[in-house]
Amino acid sequence: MGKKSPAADREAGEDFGLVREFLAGSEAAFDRLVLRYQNRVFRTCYRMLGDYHEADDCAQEVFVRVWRSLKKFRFESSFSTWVFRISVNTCRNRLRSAGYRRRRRTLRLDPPGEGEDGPPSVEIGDDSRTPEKELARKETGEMIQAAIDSLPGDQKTMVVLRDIEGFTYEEISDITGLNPGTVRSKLARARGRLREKLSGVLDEGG
Amino acid sequence: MKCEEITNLLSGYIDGELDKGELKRVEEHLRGCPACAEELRVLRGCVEGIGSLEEVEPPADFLNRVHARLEKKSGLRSALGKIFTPLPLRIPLEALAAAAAVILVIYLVKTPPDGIRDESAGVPSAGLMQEALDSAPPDSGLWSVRGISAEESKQEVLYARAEKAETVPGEAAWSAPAAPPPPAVLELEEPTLGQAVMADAGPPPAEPAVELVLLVEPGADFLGEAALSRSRMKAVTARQLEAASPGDADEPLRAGPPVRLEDLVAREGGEIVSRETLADGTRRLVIKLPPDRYPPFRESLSRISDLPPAAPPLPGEELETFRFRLTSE
Repeated sequence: MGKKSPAADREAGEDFGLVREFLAGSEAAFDRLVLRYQNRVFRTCYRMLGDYHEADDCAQEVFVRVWRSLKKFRFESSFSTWVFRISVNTCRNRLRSAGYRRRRRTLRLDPPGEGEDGPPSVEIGDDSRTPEKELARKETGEMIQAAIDSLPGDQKTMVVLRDIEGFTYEEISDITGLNPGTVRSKLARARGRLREKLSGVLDEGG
Repeated sequence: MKCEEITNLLSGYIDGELDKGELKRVEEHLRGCPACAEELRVLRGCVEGIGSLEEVEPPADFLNRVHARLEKKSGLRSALGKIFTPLPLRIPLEALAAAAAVILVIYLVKTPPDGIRDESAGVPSAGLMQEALDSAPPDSGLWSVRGISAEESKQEVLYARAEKAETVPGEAAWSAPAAPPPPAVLELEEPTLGQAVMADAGPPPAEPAVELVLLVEPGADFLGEAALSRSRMKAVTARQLEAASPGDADEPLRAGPPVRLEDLVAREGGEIVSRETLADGTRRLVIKLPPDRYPPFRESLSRISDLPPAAPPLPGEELETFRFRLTSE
């Protein structure tokens, strides 16, 4: 397991090149790294935190930390693994912070109006998206996100890294420092919980 | 093999992460067990459903916002030399003079048992520590704590040598459990740290020890006062919580004996392995603990601060960034 594709190897090499350029003083190289990773980091933050604005703030913080920590990057792991380690740690810090919990409570009491605090819809030219289907899809997405939100931190991390970001167990092990066996068991428990919470929502889809 | 054992393996089966023996057992079982085959179908549908969640994207000006934040923070750091000037006006001047801004970043990294990093060059000299002591207001209570004997007080308390306590009036305000709250309600800025140290993402070596790092921002004198009384610390942090969110304060404050970081570390069989001052003036303290002693240590920390009780940490994880200010009133 964990065999990387040639494309992944090429991307990792490009990342290293950009890191070296940054360390040599190129701010543009940092910008390119941000542009390469902002969508994935943002998505991870969003799925971990369950809120668009929190995710925005958190993802910015991730890249600020990347900027500050890059001088310590030792090229021993891929940049991708490293940046996701920072992302996961930043999210987990935030999940534990009193401020975040307070804001989440407030959000639950005062749900945002349409288009206010939720993620902006991504416009994709897809004729099959009728309003009914769109609504059903949105509702299903919200239920899945609520189920992810309800997971303990470690399990949430596993689901986001594996099922949303598509990392291998070995990569997740690199990111979290857990051994692959633990990754496997935590992921199995997380999925078991989600399967219970989402039965009736997704089980017709197999 | 029982169905329960099989269902535990289905997640790994979906990902192709079973070893050969497990794979064979699962496939054999699935051929003869419709219930487990159905469970597999449902679980797979669930995994696919999660994987097909609608895409979310950052705002279009995300990169600009990152830059704006970097600039803001770099401006903030340059202002740290003037750390007290931007504080809200609600703090009286005399409190300001004695205020200490502290940011502790604690994170875990795993190092080989003897893998202490070479930080000796950064250990502050006695002269530097003396200078730090001299810069503390004489009546700030920074270096003396009720209940600590003269002998104990000779121990280093983080960066300070506590013999300075001899020159300080005996009773420290820190430890008065029933002391009225200070006139100032101290306000916190958003934590800005995490930047000074970040564990690199290499895989942890075998046979790890747990290493914690505390960072103290330039200008902070708090760490001379590791012997804060528990009640005092609690009072400060609870007030902050209350100020930030009325009704969200912690449980009622309890009096307690002074707690010193060194004592907490020693009790868990750990040691403070290095102290250094980084180039930007941030002070950095490294504590090593046996891995299994981290949870009780963290529990102890949670009792003297506003840290929540520990969740099992991930190695390499930056655990906490928390920030508070103290005054001697």
